[in-house]
Amino acid sequence: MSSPYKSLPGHSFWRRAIESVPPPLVNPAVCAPFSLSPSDAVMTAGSCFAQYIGAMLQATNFNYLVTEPAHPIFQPGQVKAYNYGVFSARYGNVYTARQLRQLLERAYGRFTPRENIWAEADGSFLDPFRPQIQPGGFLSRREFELDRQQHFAAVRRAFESLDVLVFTLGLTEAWVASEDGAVFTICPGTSGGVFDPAKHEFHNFTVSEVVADMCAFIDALRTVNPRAKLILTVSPVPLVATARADTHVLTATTYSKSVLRVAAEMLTQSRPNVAYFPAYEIIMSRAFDAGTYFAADKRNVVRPGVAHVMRVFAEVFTGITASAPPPAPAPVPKPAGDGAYMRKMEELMQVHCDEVALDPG
Amino acid sequence: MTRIFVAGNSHITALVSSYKAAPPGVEMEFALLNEQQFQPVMQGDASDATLAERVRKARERRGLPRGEGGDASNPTLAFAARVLEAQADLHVSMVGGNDHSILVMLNHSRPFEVVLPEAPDLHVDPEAELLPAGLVSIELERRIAPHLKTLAEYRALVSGRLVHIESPPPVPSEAHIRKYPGVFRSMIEERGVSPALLRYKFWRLHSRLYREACARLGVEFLSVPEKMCDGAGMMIEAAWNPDPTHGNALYGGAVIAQLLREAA
Repeated sequence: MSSPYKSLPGHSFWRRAIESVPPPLVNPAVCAPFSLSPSDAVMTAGSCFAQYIGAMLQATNFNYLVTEPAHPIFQPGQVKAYNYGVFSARYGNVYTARQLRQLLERAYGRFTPRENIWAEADGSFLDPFRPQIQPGGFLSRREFELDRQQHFAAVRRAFESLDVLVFTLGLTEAWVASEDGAVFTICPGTSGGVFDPAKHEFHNFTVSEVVADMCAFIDALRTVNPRAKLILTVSPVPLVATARADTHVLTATTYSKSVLRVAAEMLTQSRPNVAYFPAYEIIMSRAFDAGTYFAADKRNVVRPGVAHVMRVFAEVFTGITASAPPPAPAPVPKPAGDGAYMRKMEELMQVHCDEVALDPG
Repeated sequence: MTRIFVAGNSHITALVSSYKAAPPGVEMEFALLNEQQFQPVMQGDASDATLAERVRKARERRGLPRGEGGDASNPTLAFAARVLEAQADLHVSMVGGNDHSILVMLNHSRPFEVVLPEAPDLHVDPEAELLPAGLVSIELERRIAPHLKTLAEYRALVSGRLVHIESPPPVPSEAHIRKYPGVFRSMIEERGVSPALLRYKFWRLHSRLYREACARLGVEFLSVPEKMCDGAGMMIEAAWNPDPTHGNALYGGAVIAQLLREAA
């Protein structure tokens, strides 16, 4: 007796793909519609989980695209707090599809939100669309304005030079400016700004809205970069809080992740060269055994989980199996004016000051 | 007789040069921390209650007269001895003062700019990379940290007034710096002198950190004498030392006059 299931591969069957596979070896990424070469420039954006992906891409010698790098006069330990290198440019977390779409529109001057700057009581200024981009905010309005121009130029360079964008869909819940629909990164009043119920409203995006926003984004991206490919992931990190008072945070999380997962699937069908990578499923697969890829707070993903995700990512997109990292890309020229120059200046300044002090002439 | 004790690094030289022509009734003593006997500067613990006793005993043991140094084998004690023996009416710090120049004296291969928080309307080169002023301050703070430690130790050594003198403003003239490049000659030829306004902004950020540290430590901060600054806030030509960053005897004289007013 035949059935359509008879000819299906092993990964189609729970027993063979999950039950009998050691949890760290679960690989739900069956195939990819395109592959990544070591020289492909990879840009990342998205929610907190996308930071892990960006860090792992850098650590494993993918050609991680950074168009807004820290200046070499700074120390490596200083720049992360200023969000250099966390993503390809300093846009911070981009939680929703609408935010990503608006990031592109703002960078190209097609959309300028009315509520465009937050003046804080301490005299600093915050960017409503990346309020935590640097500790203490911007120290003057002019610094804020010039930095945003520079940032938008870096965003444009990223969009125009990427080969692949890895975007992690994080949330459906968002706070929106009533006046023009600008989506804030986080609710005004939580990390800057002042919440005003007359100006700020809650919105929970639906599947069709997410798909529409992503399609609009992809189409706009391909007008400036026709070769751009996308890899979509869904963040497994649960909501830290829901704004829906009548809904449990777990239920709200399930809704949000479900919408995003469905939207991602639909997008792979509606646009070419858009892949879905099952990072969400890899992390959640540990729910089926005694282990977990979540930290003690039951939200953040622990390093072995990220490593599992990236091992599968490398395997499906580069064809590299086992734990070997992908091959190194062509070396990226290091910016001139590095530590050797500073060391020389330190030495010369010491000699200069000693000479003046000890032999004033 | 007004007794002033000044401890610091190379900017002290302007005062030393001027002191030769100081008015009567002023006695100044200088401890130049660039000297080997003080290196490394104040890495000990000046707040240690036994330090003065240790210094006294060390001096007695070595039979040193007052004011001629402490234990040469211990830089902390050497400095502490000079400070404790000084019996000054006013203690003065000129520690550090040139760390901003390391970052900004010459053109960088990746040109940068900054918006000065207290003067945001100053020109900003649109072609240069804008650096966050807060991050620049973090890097400057890292660089001046050893000097601030020395200042804190100095504060712990003296119970009376301690004044820190702001380092001189930049020399605005590239021609002057090229004429007197000192050890930077080849680097200047290779990179060129950075714009005066950029050097000015970094100097102001640097001074702000010292001013804040002084407030924390209970040290009075003495700004550059106004008459030593031109309309743009940079050093007047008559005060330039024949080198890229220091003030001359005229500059030192203006600072001494300011100190005398403070000590009065």
